[in-house]
Amino acid sequence: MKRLVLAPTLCLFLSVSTALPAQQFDQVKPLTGSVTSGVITGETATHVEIEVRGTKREIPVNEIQRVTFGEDPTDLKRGRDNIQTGNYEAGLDDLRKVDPASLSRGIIKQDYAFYRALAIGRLALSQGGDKTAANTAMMNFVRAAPTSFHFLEAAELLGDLAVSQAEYADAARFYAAITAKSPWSDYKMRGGVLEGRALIAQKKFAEAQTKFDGVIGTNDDSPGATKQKRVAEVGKAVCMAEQGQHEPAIAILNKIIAENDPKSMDLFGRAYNALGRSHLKAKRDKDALLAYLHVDLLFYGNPDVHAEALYHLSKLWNGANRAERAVAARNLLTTRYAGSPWAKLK
Amino acid sequence: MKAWTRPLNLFMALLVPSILLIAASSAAAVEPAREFLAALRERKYFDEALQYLDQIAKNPAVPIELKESLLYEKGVTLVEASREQGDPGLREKALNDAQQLLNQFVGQRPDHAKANAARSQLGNLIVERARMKVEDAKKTDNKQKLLAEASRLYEEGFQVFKALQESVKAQLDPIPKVLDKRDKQQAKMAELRLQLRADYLQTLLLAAAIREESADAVPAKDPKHAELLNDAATQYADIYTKYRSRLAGLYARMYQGRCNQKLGKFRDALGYFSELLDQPDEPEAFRKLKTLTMKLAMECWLHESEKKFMEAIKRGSSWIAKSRPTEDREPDWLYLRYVLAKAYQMQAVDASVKGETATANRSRSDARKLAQFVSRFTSDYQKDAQQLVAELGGPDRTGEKVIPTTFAEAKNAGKEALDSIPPATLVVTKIPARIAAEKDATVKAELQKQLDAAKQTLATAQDDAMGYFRDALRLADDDTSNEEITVVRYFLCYLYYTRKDFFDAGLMGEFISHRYPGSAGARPCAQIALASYLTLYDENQSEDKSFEISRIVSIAEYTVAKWPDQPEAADALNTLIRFAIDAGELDRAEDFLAKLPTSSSKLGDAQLKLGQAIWRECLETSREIQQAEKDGAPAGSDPAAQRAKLKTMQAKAREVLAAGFASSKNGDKINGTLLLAALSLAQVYVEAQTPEDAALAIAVLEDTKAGPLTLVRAGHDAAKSPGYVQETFKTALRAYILALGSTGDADATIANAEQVMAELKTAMGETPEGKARLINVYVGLASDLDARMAVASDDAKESLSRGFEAFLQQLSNDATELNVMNWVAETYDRLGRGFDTQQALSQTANRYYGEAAKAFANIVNLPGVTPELKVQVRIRQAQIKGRQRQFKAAIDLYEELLIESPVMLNVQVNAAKAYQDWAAMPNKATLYERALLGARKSEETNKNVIWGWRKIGDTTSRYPKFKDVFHEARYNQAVCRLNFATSKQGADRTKWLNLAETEIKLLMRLYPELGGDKWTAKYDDVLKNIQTAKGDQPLGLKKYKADVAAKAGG
Repeated sequence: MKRLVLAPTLCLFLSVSTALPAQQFDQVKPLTGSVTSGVITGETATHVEIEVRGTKREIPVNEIQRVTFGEDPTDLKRGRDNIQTGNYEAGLDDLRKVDPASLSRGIIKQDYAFYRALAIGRLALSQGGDKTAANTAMMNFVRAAPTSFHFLEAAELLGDLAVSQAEYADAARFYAAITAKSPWSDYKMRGGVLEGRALIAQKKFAEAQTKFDGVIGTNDDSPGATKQKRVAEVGKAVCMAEQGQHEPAIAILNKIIAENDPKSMDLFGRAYNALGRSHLKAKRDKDALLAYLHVDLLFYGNPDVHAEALYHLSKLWNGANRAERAVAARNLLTTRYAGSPWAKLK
Repeated sequence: MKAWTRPLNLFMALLVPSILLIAASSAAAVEPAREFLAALRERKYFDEALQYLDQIAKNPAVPIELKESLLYEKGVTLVEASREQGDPGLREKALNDAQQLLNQFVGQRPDHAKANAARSQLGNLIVERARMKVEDAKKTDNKQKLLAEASRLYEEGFQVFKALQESVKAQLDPIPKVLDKRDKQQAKMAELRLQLRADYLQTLLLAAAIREESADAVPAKDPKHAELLNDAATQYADIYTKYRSRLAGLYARMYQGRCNQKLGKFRDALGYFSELLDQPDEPEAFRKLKTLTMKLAMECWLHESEKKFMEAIKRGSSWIAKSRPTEDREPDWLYLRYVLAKAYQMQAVDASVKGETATANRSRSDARKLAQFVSRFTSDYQKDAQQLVAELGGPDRTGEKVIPTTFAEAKNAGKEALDSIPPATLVVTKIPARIAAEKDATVKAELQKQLDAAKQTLATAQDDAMGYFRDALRLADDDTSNEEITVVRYFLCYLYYTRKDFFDAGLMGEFISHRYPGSAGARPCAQIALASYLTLYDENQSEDKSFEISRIVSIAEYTVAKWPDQPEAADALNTLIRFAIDAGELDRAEDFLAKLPTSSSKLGDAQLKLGQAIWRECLETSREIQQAEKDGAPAGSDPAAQRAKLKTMQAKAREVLAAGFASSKNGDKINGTLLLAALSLAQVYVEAQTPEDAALAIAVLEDTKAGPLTLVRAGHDAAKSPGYVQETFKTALRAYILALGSTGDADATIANAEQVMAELKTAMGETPEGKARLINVYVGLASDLDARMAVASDDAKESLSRGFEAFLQQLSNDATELNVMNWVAETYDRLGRGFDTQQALSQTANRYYGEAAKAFANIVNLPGVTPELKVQVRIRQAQIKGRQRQFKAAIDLYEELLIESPVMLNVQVNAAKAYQDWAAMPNKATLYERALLGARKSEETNKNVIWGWRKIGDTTSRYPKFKDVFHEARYNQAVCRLNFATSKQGADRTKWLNLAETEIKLLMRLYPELGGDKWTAKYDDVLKNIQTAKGDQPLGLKKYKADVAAKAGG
C-alpha cells in the first residue's frame, strides 16, 4: 500500500466508542488523523467500507496508510508490518507461521495472500528470486479478489515485474489498469509515469517523452498531482538527454533539485540518477559520478533507483581508477539487488 | 582501540547537524549539499568531497551559507582525510593544509557562523597530532617520550576548547533571552544565538572527549588514567544535565557510560546505557544512538566480572531483530551479531556446566550461526568471528551435497565450501590441545567429534570448492556477467595456488589480471601469479631460470603500472628491486625503489638490499681504481671519471642505507639483511674519514636494537659468523679512532676503542694467521690516524694522539715483525714532530720522541736484524736524540757510526745537521763553525771524523749522482754563515755575511742552474735574507743573474 500513498488528505473522524477493546475491531489507519475502528464490511479497488457503531463509512484507498483486522493472528500482524516497512524476508518468515486455513474471514485470507505475493514480488525485484512465481502469486490474488482494495498496488507490482522481464506489453496493460480504475487524477498521472518508464526501458524515448508531457500538462495542482508532475519532469529529462538534449535536461533536473524538498527520497533519487545519465551523455564522467553518489549516499531508499546508481557507479569508479570502490558497488548491486535488471547488465 | 570507540572520531562523525541542532532541520528547496558532503566524508570519499567543494561555487542550487564557508569545509575534509592517510609525511601535509585553510577562513570571516567551528577544528588539529604521537608510540621504543608529548598536546587541545568555550559564552551573553522573531533583526539574532548555542555545546563535548581520549596516552596503571576518565565522565554528566532534551545530551550520557565502562564501573555504565536503550526508536537519529549504546552495553554485560549473558541475549537479539536488510553488513550491526554470538557461547558453556545439554546445544548452534554470518563479510570482526566459529566446532557443513543447476548455485556452493576452510583450519589447530587438557570425558568426546568433523571438512572442502567452481563456469550462460565469471576464476586461481599447482595458478592469475583489470579479483590474482612464479623460481634447480624471471618481472611490472597506489604494487616493486639487483641493474632498482610509497612496510628492506648492492659496487670500483693506480690504468679507461663515479655511488649507498636502517631498525625482526646493511652503513660513514661521520658510524654500531656491535656482543644468532664479528670490531675500532678529535668525550672513546681492541684480539684468535691479520688491521687503523693528525686542529691533535698512542702501545706489545715495529717507532717520531714547534721542546713531543727511541731500541735487539739495518736504526736513534735536543748524545752516536765507516754520506749529512741544529740553540752559535768545518778529530788519522758541510760539498761535487747532497751542503753552508753572522756584530758580522753572499755568487758562476728549481728557490730565499741583513735591497738571485749571463756570453 505504501507505494500508492499519494496525497495525504486531512480526514477527521470521530473517536470510536471503547465499549470493546479497540484491538478486537478492524482498524483503518489514515495517512493523517485518527484511526477508525469498526468492522470492515466491503471493499472495492478504490474504497474500504467500514461500519462504525452502525454507520457505514467509505474511506478512499489513496487516504489509507494501513488496514488491520480484529482477528489478525500475531504473526500476520507482524508480517504485514515488516512487509510494509520493507523487511520482506522477515515478513515472509512471519507469514509462513500463519496457517491460511485458520483465518476466519475471507477478507483476511485475501489480505494474507496479497502481502505474501507482494513480499515475494518485491524480493524478486530487488534481492532476487523467481519472478515468474511472484507473478503467478500476485495474479492468483487478483483473480481471487478482483475487488480488493489492494488492486491498484497489485497492478503496479505486476507492471514492475513485467518491465523487469522485458514484457513491456503486459506492463503497459497493468499500468493502464491503474489509470483506468483510479478516480483520482494523481493516481492516473502515476499510471502515466509508470507507462513512460516502461517506454524508457524499451528505449522508446520520444514516445516516453510524450507520455511524460501528458502527465506534466494535467490540469491539477493538488499536492499529489504536483508530485507526479515533478516525477514526470525527471522522466522527460531522461528522454531529452537520451535524444541529445542533455544540457536542457540538466537544467530541468537542477531546477527540480533546487526547488523541491530533499525529503522526497524517491524524487531526488530519480532526479540524481537522471542527472548522472545526462552527464554521461555529455561525457562528463566526474560530474556523473558525483550525481550517482548522491543516490548511493543520500537517496537509496528505492531499490530500483539505488540499483541503477550502483550499476553506473561500478563503471565510473573503474574509470576513476578506484577499482575497490567499483567492486564494492558491483558487489552491493549483485547481492542486495540481485533481482534488479541493473544487476543483470554487464 | 577500534576506530569507533575513539571518542573524538565518533563525536566528529556525528557532529553538528545531527545531534547539536536536531531542532534545526535542513531547509527545503535547495540541493542537500551539506548532507551530501557529510555522507561523502562518512564514506571516506575525501577526494570526491574536495572535488564537490570545488564545484559548488558555480552551482546555484547550493545554499549560499555553504559557499561562504568553503574554506572551512575544505579544511574539515582535509582533517578527516588525514586520519585515513597511512603515510606520516602526507598526513602531516594534509594537517598543515587544513590548518592553513582554517586559519584563512577565520581570518577572512571572523564573524561567520562557522568561525567558532573553525576555531574548534584548529583545536582539533592539535588533538590529531596528539593522536599521531599515540599511534607512533605503539611502533617504537621511544614510547614514554611520545606518550608524554601526546599528553602535552592533548592538554593543549583541551585548553584551546576551554578558551573557546569562554569566547562563545561571551558572544552569547549579550544576546537577549527573549527575541521577537517577527522582527527581522531579532530573527537574525535568534539565528545567531542558535548557532552560538550549538558551538558552545560542541566545545563542551569536544573538551570532554579530549579528556577521555587523553587517557589513551597514559598507562592504565597510572592514577592519572582514572583521573582523566573521571574528569571526562563528570564533564559529560554536566552536559547531559543541561541538554538532556537534546540528542547531544543523550550522546553525552552514552559517553559518560563509556567512561565508566573504561574505568571498570560496569554497573554504573549499564545504568546510563539502560536509560538510553529505553528511549524510543524514532526518529532515525535515536535508532543510531541506541545501536551504538547497545554495542557498549553488550560489552558490559559480557564482561568477565558481569557475565550477564542472559540479559545480553535478551536485549541484543531483540535489537538485532529490528535490523533492516540494508543494515546487515554494516559494521555496527555485524559487531552486534558477533557479541551476541559470544553471549550465546557463554550461555552454552554455562548450560554445559549445569548439565543442561539441550540448552547448551541450542546456544552453541545459535552462536555458530551468528558467528558464521559475521565471518562471511569483510569487517574488523571477520577474523574474530572465524575464530569463534572454530571455537564452536567449526563450520556446519552437514547435510547433503548440493547438485547445482545454475551458475549462481554452483558459485554459492563453491564459496560456502571455501569459507568453511579457515574456521576448520582453526579447529584443527586449536582443538587438539584442548582435548589433551580436558578431563571431562563427555566434553572430550564432543571436542573429538568437532575435530573429526573439521578434519573431514578440510579433507573435502577444497575439492568440493574446486568442483563447484568448475561447475559454475560450465553453467554460465549469456546472462552471467563477466564480473561473476571473473570472481569464480579468481577462486579457482586461489585454489590452484593452495593446492600448489603454481603453474596453473600463475597462468590463471595473469590472465585475469590482464584481461579484467577492473574486476574484484584482478589485484589478488596478480599477487597470486607473482607468488606462484616466485615459488617456481625457487623450486627450479636448473641453471636456466629465464622463464620464471621473465614471468615474475612481467607480472610485477604490470601490477606496479596498473595499481600504483595499492599494497600489491609495493610487493611487486620489492620483487622487481630484488631481481634488478640480481641482474646488476642498480639504476633500475633505484627507479623501482623511488616508486615504493614511504608508508610501505617493504621500503626499509628494499632500501637495505639496494644500499648493500651499491656498497658492494663501490668496493669493487674502489679495488679497480687501486689496481689501476698500482699497475697503470687499462687502455680506454678514465681514472678521473671512475673516481667521480665512485664518489657518487658512495653518496648514494650512504643515503639509501641510512634511510633503510632508519626505517628497519625498529622492526620486529633482526635479519641478515638488516645486519649486513647496518655494518655496511657504518663502513660507509667510516670511509668518509671525518669525526662527524665517525660519530654517525658509532651511533649505527651501538644502536640498542639493531647495532652490529650491540648484537655481536649480545651473541645474537644472526651476528655470530666470525667474518661478521671481526668486520664489526674492525669497523668499530676505525670509527672510535676517527671520532677522536671531535668534541665528544675523548676518554670514553679511547676506553671504547681499547675494549674493542681486546675483543678484536680475541675474535682474531691466537693462530699466526690471526695475529698477522690483527697486525694488518692495526697498521691500517694507525695509518688512518696518521692522516687525521696531519690535518687536525691543535685541540683535536691532543685527543687524537692519545688514541693513537693506545694503538701504538698495543702494536708494540703484540707485534714481532720488523716492519711493524719500525712503523711504530717512526710513527712515534712523527707524533713527536707534530707537537714540536722547533722552539723549546714540549713535554708531549719529548715523550713521543722517547717512545720512538724505545721502539727503535727494541728493533736493534731483535734477533736476525742485519748489520745494514742496525746502522739505519742507529741513525734514527741519533736523529731522535737530536730532536730531544740531546745533541751531544746524537753526535756521539754519529761519531760511533762514522768511526766504523767514515764515508757513510747520509750519516755525515745527519751529523752536520745535528751541529747546525745545536748551533741554533741559544749561545751556541760558535757551533756553526763545526757544522761547516766538521769536528771530532780522529786520533788515528788526525782528521775530523765528522766532516761538516764544506767537506760534504767538496766530496760530492765530483759525483753527479750526489747532486742533491752537494746542493744541500752548499745551501746549508750559506745558511750557517748567515746565522753565524747574525750572532755577531760589526765587522765580524759583515765578514760572515759577505762570505755567505760570496758562497752563493760563486756557486752561480760554477753551476748556473743551481741544482734545479728546488735548490734555486732555496738559494734565492737565503740570499734575500743575506741581502736584507746587509741592508741591501733583497733582490735575491736576480741581482747577479745579469752579471752571470754577461760573463757567460763574454
